[in-house]
Amino acid sequence: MEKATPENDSHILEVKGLSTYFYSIHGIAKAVNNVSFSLKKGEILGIVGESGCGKSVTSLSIVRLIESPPGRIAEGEIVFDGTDLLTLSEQKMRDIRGDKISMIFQEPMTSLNPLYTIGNQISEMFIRHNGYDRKKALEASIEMLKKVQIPHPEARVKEYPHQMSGGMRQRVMIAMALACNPEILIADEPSTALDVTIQAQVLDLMLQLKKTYDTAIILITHDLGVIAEVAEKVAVMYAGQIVEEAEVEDIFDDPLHPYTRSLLKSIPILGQRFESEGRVELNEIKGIVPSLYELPRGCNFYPRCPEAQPKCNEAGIPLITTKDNRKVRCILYT
Amino acid sequence: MKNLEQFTRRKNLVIGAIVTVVMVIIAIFAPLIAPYDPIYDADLMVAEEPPSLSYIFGTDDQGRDIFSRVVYGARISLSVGLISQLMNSIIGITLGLLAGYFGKWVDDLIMGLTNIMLSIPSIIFALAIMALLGPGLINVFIALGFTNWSYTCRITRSQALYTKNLNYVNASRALSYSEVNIMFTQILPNIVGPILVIATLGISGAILIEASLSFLGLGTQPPTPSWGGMLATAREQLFTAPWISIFPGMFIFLTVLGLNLLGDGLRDLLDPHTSQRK
Amino acid sequence: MLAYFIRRTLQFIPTIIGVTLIIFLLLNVLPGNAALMAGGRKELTAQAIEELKEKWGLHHPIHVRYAKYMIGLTKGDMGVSYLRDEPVSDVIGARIWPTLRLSMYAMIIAVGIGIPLGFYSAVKQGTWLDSLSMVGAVSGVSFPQFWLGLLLMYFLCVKAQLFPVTGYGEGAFSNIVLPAITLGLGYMALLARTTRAAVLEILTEDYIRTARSKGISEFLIYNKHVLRNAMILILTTAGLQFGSMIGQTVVIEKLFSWPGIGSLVVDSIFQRDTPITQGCIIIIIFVFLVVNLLVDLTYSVIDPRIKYQ
Repeated sequence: MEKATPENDSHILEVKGLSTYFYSIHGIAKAVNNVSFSLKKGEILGIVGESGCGKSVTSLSIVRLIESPPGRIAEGEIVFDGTDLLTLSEQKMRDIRGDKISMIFQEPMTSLNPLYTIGNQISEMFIRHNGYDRKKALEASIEMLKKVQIPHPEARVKEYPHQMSGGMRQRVMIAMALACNPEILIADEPSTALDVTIQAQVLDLMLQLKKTYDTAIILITHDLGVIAEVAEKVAVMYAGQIVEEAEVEDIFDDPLHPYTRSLLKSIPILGQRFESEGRVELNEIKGIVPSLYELPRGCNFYPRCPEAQPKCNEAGIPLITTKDNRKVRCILYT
Repeated sequence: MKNLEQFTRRKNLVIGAIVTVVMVIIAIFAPLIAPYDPIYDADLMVAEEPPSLSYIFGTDDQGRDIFSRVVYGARISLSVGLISQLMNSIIGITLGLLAGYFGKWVDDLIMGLTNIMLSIPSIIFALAIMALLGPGLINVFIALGFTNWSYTCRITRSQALYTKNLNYVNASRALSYSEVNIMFTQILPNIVGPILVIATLGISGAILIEASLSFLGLGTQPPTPSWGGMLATAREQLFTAPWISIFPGMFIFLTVLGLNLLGDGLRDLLDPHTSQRK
Repeated sequence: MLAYFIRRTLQFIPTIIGVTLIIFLLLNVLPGNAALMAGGRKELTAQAIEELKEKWGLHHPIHVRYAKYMIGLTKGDMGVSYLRDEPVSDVIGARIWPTLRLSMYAMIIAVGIGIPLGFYSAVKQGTWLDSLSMVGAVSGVSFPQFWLGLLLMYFLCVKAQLFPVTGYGEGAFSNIVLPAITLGLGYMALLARTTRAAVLEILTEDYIRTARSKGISEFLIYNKHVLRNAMILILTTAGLQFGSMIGQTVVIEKLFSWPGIGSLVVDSIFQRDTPITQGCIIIIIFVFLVVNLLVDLTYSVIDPRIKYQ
């Protein structure tokens, strides 16, 4: 396959029309449905949405870690460094994973092999991608532990995962992911499973390291607070599609899509109770997410949208770009 | 293909159930199915004949029809399996309830006993009991009735402990009839599933052990037609009448296989999480 | 870790005591039979019986006899055979080597083929190869091993005349092949099943996904990340499953006229030679418990989480 040319030279990753489906006896679940976005060098893109909206599947699709069967990347292009990743052999993909594109996951408690030392698992990266021998890899691992601010790294490398707390394990994951200085770090809910105080530490750490290494980050979360702290650009996903994409300030100051607006409204404000006489109900988005096996004919959000019109349900709504270079998938803006 | 897993699981249950039911029917209706009497229809003139139209499975060294003997053998195997497992389940449930409810030294004693039982392979324990009682089918019933109660006991005890803690307030009062009743209605329904699985697999295990014991000559004695006993005869006649070896063994295999598939299927039914992830 | 070793070994002792107690009680609760039935020498006079009873210490009450037996065990004395009037330890000692040899070969087959088979079957999950091995494993577990032995005997010995039908044959290799295969296949099927389930279970773990995201080769994923974790799962049941193989040794030895402890214990039951039966059973259980202990200790060596309990 010939190399695809990126639209803009500073984009290191361009996802075009990605569709990932899951096949089962219940039918075909369109977990990711024609998703497109791009990532600049050193940019922090936040992908936000509720559980099941397809954000994790998108990230796994980028590195082609979708279990097939039952899943399959049905369509699209994932252009990284000028090459469509979907055309590469599995061997070449393995060369890229960990070296150019790394991932960290949500559950630090179970994401490390319990039977091997921390040092062994970090060294794996150096041995695999940089060709170091054991001794050199171990020294490099100790250096990485220092960078993620784990005290007494020389002792820690000999320890096993169960001897560390969740926050520390997540740091180890970050150390492993950044060991070979990848261009992109995909962080799938990195702080969700951690205590609030540790959350802040981990996110701080990620930002610091990003400055040092100039790594682009795709941060996946359902937590708008994390997005507000960390992201530069934001993509909002719903039922397998991107419904809005903009700079982070714009998303919070002036959300366009009704779903984004409902999301922001549903964040409880501290102290709100005492301002009014009685108690204030939490704003919720009524209804439930549509089944991925049977998506609505028109807009996916139509059944729950407070600003719905009959026209919304006629046909699929395309993602359009506004005058301010924001993207939104809503009939209100066409 | 995850679908293969699901399909296989259901297949297990269905095939296992069908095979088991067929064997039970054969056992129950043996007199109607067997063309000859398994013990008395012995004609030395036709001894050691290969399978033919009149003797579907051939004849043995005494001139008896192997097919009829195999059919009647189902009665022995299945009844040993069922009855011994029933004994085991009753013992296990009783001991489990006692251990869980009364606790302290009763619990320690029963748990110690359970550990010892688990340290002794079933067939070895059965041999010890046969050494005590001597050879014979009735003794096999008794022996096998004591070899498989450990897991049932453990499960019942866990459930009893759990339920007892729920009813903690009542524990300090004297045991009243209604409480015993509660224990039964609360404990037993929750463990019916796992106990059924253990029982099904236990029956298949018991059938195998009984066949082994009969093969060794410690179980059924000639001329009683049992599958294991017939294989012992087959060994003697291996050179002259090899077909005797095939059919009793095949029936043991099919029965045990059916029960194992059924047990596996039941286990998967009760615990679908074992193979389902994501 | 030494503390764990010691603790675990100490747990072993009350179990073995409990086992010997139960077996002793079971076999000796009816003292009258033994002397009378010994070797079928029913023609003994009443006085001769009394003399024998005195000689073998059968006139003591049962708890005294048990104590004497336990003390004797520590010195390696297992009593005297009723039938042969020889020390039990001599009789058993003469027959222990054939059983050990047979078990060794059977284990090699079971472990050497069973675990790789289960592994391979898990890797090829979903293919026809996997379905075949799954069916094979369930069948293997359901197959009456002595029937398998008979069939093998017929086809390979009688028809093809490849191996001698029965007997030890002075330790010749061709004699051990068939018994070893017959004995090993059952345990092999169990191990294959367990291994396959273990590997499939491990493959769904998060740390495997992490390893893949690091770009680790499939070879390392299976042989480093999956293998050790799977071994732990396999070891948890391997010890207990070994018990089924031990039990089968008795039947297989009788089938092939193999002069080991298995056939000895069966013969002794027919001969009502209680001390031999008792000695054999206790030794068999002892071996079973030792194997389980070794499995536990190996488990604690592989799994670092155990050390720190």
